[in-house]
Amino acid sequence: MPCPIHGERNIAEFFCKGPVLSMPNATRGTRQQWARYLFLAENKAGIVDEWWLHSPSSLWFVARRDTTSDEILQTWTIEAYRTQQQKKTTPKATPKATSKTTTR
Amino acid sequence: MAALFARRRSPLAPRLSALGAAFVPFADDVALVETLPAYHREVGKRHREHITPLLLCDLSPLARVGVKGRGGESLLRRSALVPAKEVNESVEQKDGALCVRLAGNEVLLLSALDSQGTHDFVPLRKNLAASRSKQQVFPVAYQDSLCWLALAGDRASDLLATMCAVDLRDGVFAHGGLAQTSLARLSALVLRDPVRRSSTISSDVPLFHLLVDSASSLYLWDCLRDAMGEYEGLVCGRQDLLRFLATTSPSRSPSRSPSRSPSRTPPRHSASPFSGTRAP
Amino acid sequence: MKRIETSRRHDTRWGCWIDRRKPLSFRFEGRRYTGFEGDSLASALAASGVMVFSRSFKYRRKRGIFSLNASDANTLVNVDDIPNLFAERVLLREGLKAHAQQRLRFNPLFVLTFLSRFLPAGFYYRTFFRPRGVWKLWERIFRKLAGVGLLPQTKVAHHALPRFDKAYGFFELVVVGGGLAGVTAATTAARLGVRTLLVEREPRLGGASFAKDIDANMDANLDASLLQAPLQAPLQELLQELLQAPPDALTVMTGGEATGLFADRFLAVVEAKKRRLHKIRAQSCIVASGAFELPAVFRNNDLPGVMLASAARKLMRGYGVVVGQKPVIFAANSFGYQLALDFLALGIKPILLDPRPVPHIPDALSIRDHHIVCANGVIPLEALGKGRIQGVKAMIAGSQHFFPCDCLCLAVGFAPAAELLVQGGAELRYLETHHCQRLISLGEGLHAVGAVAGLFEPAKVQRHAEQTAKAVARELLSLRSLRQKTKTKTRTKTETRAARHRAKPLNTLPAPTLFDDAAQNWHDPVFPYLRGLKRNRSENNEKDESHKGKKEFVDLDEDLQISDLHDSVRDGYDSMQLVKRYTTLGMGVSQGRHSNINGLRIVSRLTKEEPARLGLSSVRPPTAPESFSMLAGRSFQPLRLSPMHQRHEQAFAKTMVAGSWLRPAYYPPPPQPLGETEARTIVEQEVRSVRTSVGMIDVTTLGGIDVYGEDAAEFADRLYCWSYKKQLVGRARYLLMTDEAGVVADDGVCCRFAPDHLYLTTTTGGSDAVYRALLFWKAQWNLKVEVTNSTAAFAGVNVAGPLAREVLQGLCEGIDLSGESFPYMGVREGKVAGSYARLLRVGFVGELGYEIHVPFSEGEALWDALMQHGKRWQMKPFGVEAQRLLRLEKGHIIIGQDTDGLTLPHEAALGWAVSRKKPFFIGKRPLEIQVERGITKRLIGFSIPARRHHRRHHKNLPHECNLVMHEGAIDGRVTSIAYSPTLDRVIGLAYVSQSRKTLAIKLDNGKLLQASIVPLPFYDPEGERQKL
Repeated sequence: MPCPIHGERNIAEFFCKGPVLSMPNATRGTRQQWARYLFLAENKAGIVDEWWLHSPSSLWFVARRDTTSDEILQTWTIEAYRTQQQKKTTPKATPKATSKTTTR
Repeated sequence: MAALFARRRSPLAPRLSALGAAFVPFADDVALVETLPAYHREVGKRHREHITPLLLCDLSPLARVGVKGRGGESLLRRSALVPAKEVNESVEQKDGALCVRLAGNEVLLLSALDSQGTHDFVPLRKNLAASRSKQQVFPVAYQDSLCWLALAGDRASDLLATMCAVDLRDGVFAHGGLAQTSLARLSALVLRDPVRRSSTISSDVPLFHLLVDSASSLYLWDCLRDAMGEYEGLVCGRQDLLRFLATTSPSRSPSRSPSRSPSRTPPRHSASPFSGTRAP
Repeated sequence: MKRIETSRRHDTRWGCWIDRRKPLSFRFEGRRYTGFEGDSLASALAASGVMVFSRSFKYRRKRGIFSLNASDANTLVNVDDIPNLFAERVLLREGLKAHAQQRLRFNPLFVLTFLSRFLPAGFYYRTFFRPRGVWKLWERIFRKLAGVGLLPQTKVAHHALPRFDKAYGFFELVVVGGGLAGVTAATTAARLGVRTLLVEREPRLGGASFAKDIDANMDANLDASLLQAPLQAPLQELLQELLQAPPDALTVMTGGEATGLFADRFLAVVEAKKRRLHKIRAQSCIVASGAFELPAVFRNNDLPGVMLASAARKLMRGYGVVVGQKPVIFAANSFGYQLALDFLALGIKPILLDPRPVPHIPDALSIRDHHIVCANGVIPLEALGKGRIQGVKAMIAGSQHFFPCDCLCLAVGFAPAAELLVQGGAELRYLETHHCQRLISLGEGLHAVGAVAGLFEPAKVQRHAEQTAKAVARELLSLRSLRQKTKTKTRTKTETRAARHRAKPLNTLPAPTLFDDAAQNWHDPVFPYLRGLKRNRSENNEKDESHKGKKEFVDLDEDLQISDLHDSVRDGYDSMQLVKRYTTLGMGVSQGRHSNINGLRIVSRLTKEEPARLGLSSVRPPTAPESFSMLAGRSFQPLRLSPMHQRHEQAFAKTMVAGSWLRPAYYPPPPQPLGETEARTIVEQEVRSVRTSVGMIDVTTLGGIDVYGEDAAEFADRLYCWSYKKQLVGRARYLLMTDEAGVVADDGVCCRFAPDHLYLTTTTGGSDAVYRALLFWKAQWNLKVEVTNSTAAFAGVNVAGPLAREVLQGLCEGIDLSGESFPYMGVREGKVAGSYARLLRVGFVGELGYEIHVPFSEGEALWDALMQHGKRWQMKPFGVEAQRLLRLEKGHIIIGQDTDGLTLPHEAALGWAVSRKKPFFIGKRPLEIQVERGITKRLIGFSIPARRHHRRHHKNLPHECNLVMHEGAIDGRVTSIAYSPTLDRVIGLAYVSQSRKTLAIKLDNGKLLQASIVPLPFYDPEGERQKL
């Protein structure tokens, strides 16, 4: 995992919290919205932005991962991710095409 | 022993006492081990047998301060300290202290190795107590929450490779670099001593500072002692360490990691320690 | 002991791996034998004429050396009480004691071989369970029959056990395999300055080339008379260079086997001799693991004496063993012919049987001058012999011929040993043109050279290995300089190295036209007996193939015959995945090395599918057996201790594990082990002292988090259920944390020491999780707040009891302990016993009490001062068991015991701690929704009058998790229960669906016990005692 602060480290040093999601409104959010946010995981097969924690330094950051190949495409510190989101431009991450015919 | 009567005690005091260490008063109310009789007995033997020494020293009684917050950098400058520029780097101060920059707006300051304990970070502490919210900088209790161990010697990175998954070898892990990583499954700060201006501490001898949670210090000590057995490492006191750093020049042994590669002239220190009767 | 048969060792020829000057004696099956230094156990036994090493798994047939490459289970032996070792991997040493793992001489189970008709593949799915209950009988039998090795029966003292170790390693390039290809690649890369590791499984380099393989420890003087084949010269030069390479650039590890390749080139390398497991991260990996030879399948091909040509070659050239005086070589490629030349060099005339219909010109020319029997168009029928091979029957041009022999060598082709590469994402495909599997794509950062990539001819191998190594070195050096450059830039770079590196993946596979296989692999080395007997081979005649028990073994480890694969396909399990699982093909010790390809060919023929389309099942680590000791060596179990731990030990406290901490459970009088009743009495005494006078407990383990900043209270407001914005300085408030779904997560106390400074405590087990959650949410909101984990910064002691104030008055400086000035739920800073301290006056055990937090390094001094000072009041320490009992009497819940992963605050009687006015806190809305829907269970307190035998034996009392029943249905469960000495009743907490007067608890023995529901807290309901 290429941590944005510490560089490449063994994945064992990290913990994945789950996809980056925005919380529904605390007062006006409907039951359906909250239920979906809490209990229904999209479990997307593709490129997902996730919250990751570097356990030894308790550092939270965001990583973009291709869930079909388990490749980490890009990582950001929280500030960098925020600025990136605000600009509303998504960087072109090129997912590597892997064709596997050996059955698992 | 002085350790029993000082109010502040290193968490490693029980282990040092068991080795017959003599504690001397240091700073106001803490005791430090300056020298170990067992070390003097053994180090001569190592030199005679051409074994590069590997030393472990408890520096927990020495001073350290932590600050956290956006105003950290300006606070350091106001206290006549030079902050490190990049995260995971450290810089030496005028008096030999170290300023280490951690992730998350945190700075750790380690006192000079030869400090007498009375004048460490006085302006910083004063400024820190005075300001706070206004200056957006707050204290972190590193003096107590972290213990400080020093590991010195050519084989130090080989020893750490048995318990740490980060490459800490010469040439890869820069002087003054910090690795916040897992050491024996503990969260640890592993710092390589930066290139020093003064000549009393030679930069050629690899010197690592290991800082872990104080509650886990005894566990880490036992892990290190156990792993050190293979390299015939020794526990030493602070003065012993300083003397070692001042006088030693690195031995360019033919193979850096003989435990992995079969070398042509088998060096003494590659003998396997696992002969069954060795006690950890 | 009768001396064994004559030695088969050649006196002078070859044996480049042994040192004839150093004989060693050892024992096998009780008999004494001799070998030489450098021998493996298998070669020494072969040299002594031992042909039978084991009995097969199912039919208990005699088995001997087959592949000599750990590609079959025939040679598994027990050496010095360690089971399941390959005899060819065990290096011989003086006094070695080895045993076979089955009865070799007269094995009564051999009768099974005649019952093979009744034991087809998968027979156990349909038998042994009727009539009902008969399995119990069979199970006992099978437990004795099954398994291969036996665990050591003698106990070894712990300190006498060998120690296993682990170490991490970091290299830019790792080359797996030290044959010609590997050595070429490693030296080329090292020459260019890349930090390289060369890993080789054998104790010497050289691989399949029989140069004088140089053990890196030996002298570099090369004996010219030992050069036997043309490829020696380039290898010699390389090995010379290897010895002179600087150690920083090139490290050589012999005796190390790479058993697994994990994500991003993380290799597990087992160095068995040094008992060390290396975990190596490589930036690039060149795999030169070679190829393993494939067997031919025909009747009785498992007889001892039938072996692969590569095994024969290793025995002869490497160990100087003459494998047979009358050899027959079944050769479908030039490798077999070269073996014939080897025999001729020893003065033995082999017989060559070639299945190729037309003589292959180069091969034929090579043996032209030697006048040996050589036949083409041969179809082997069967191998004959009792317990060892005595002859071969074959069909040549329509007529049967018999060839007496004492050794049958098979040379029908090679398959790449690409397991590591496949684990790393490479793809293997069966190519019809080459009659074998080939690598058609590699994973990122992986490269293949040598036989594993399909190249055999030495010049080609060298050239390709050099090219690959140069390309890889170029890539690695450019990455190195890139990494050094990025170090100076700021850390907020968003592009990762990997993305840049992936822009142009390096493809180093040789073009298919270069493959040497076509000449190496025979397209169909499967020769069913009945088909061979017929003159014309009718392809579609089903009857040919349906022959039971003809003993043509496809998988030697699992004793699978061709008919077993037929049965599987006929039963409908016809994809390779199903065939594998139904017949257990390739699931034995060798993991399909010698059986998968032939199995694929057979199934392909039966199902009329292309082998390429059938595919094979995936390969997983480890590629070779690993011992558990290797995996367990140097394991780390972090332990956290409070600074007072030594004092607890000196007081003979019984410790218990709480998370990663050790805590004292209770303090018995010195020092004999106590039974359960005595222990409970001690705990009750501790409880009594706290309730009547005073006690002290080490609470260092409770977590503490310092929150600073002007938005500190706002931050706490958002994270916890209660409100803290109006909390006054010097006061404490209860903290309840719920997760996003409203479920109870943690609790503690919030202390306000300054407008911008909050000190939050957590439970022992929750401190890390709470700290991380705080950091996570801090990052979500833009608040002016800083959070630090002070759990290990403070040591804590709680002095509790009606005399607590008296005791502490003498030790405190700068704090007025009187009730008016330091009320209940207050916090103060000052000095206790000379140390800076934070004093918290909180509920804890329901008595007047003060929790003292001092810096960690001063904890022991504080404990000593308190113990000394407290002697006047006979203040004694109490442990966690007493703490739990005291808190239960006050109805305090334990997060994780009285709550679970779904408990809401309102269910756990904590609804009062949830603010209704705050606009937001974590879990607010979900909690509201669930409360609206209705709370379905409630935590209540119950009590049972204590009877004398209850106290003494605790029999017929409920335990935690016993069910609460109502009208025959489950209504809830008991979460905590204990006998309370203060109340002289048994009290506990339980969940029920509705609050009633009584509840019925189902005991372990099935009976129902009535308990009365009482309001909480049980003790001091008004809370007067803690507000003294």
